[in-house]
Amino acid sequence: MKRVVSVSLGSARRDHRVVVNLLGEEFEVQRQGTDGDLEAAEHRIRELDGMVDAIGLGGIDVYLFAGDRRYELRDGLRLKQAAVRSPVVDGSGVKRTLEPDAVRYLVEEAHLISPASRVLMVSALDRYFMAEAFVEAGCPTTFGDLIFALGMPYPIHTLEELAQIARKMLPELAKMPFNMLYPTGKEQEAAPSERFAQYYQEADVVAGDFHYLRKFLPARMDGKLVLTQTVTREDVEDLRRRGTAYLVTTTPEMEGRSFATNVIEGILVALLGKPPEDVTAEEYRELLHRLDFRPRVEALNVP
Amino acid sequence: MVTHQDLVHSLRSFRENCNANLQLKAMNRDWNRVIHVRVTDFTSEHTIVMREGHMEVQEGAPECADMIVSGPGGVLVDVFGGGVSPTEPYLAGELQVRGSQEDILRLDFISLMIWGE
Repeated sequence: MKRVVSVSLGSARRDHRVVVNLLGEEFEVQRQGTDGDLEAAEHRIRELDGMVDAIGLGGIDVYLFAGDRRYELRDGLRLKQAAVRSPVVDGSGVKRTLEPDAVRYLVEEAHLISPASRVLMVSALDRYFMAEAFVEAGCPTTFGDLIFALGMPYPIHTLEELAQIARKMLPELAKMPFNMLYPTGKEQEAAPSERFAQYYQEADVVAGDFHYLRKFLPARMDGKLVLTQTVTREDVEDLRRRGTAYLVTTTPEMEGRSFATNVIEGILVALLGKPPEDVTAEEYRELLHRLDFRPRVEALNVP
Repeated sequence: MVTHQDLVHSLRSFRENCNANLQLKAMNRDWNRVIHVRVTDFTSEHTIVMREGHMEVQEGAPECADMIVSGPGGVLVDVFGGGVSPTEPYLAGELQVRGSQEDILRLDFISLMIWGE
């Protein structure tokens, strides 16, 4: 049996374990949260190194992208480098294919998004290829990176401005403790504030990281499509109560949970049996096709 | 050895660059704060006032501050003058910033928007 463990900076309350059969291989897939404790995550990765087929990094990114540049987050890199035998992935490899393909599917096949759909991407730097796909589809898109990461009411409307700000910010901000930039541990369980509700209200589609998305989630989300991942059953019910029309997760559901892209990338790397840096986008796409991994569309409040 | 006057020049330069940047002005339109800048290795205190995206700098300490930025004069001159980014001295403990986490990030952001890249 192959083992993939996602070590997450998120809350341990979201931990889970499933056994699945993928292309004839049994996989034990686990998520282990460390409640925002970076030291504990690093320690756990060292323990797992060489004992598992792949380690996923959850609740933290190693790489962010904007324009033609890639930025390394210091804390993410530290965790990645804690293992030397097992491959460590943060999901950024599969995000290049899985997420833009999900947008194209929703526009071209499911017809749930049109070029007229107004999109709020809560953060584009961690999902740059999804952001590009929305722009390519012609959707008026708001990138909420400054709103959601820094609490600054400044919506970004073009990829060019996003890349320009990233060039100034990210080489330095990437050195800051990750928990200053992103909700980790118990912060993920805090009740949403309505401080930036207006940006949700102006959108037809709200997309991106679920913890950011939840941070300012308004009481009513009537008629909106949410495109995200790593939602629990409780999260789905919460979105349903708020009137969300559709919930689309970019990753497949396993036993009631949509797994994070780092887990999916861990599975793919374990199946391919090669170092993640040697895997091409095309290899990921071909394998995702063979696995029949496609976005999961759930109609929550559709007459 | 830097002097009080060197820090005055650095802060003026910081203010002029901040006020000339229209993008930054729009970004900070909601951020009204009083920031106390205090040198730890000689006597020199300053006040930065942010109001609706506009920055003012005055010599002397404020009566009441939302944030306190302190450190050796050389570090403060470099940080406000764009000689170094605030991130490294902040992480190294040479630059102390007291305030809410969101305000600390915002001040770092302003500095990077002015001097970054």
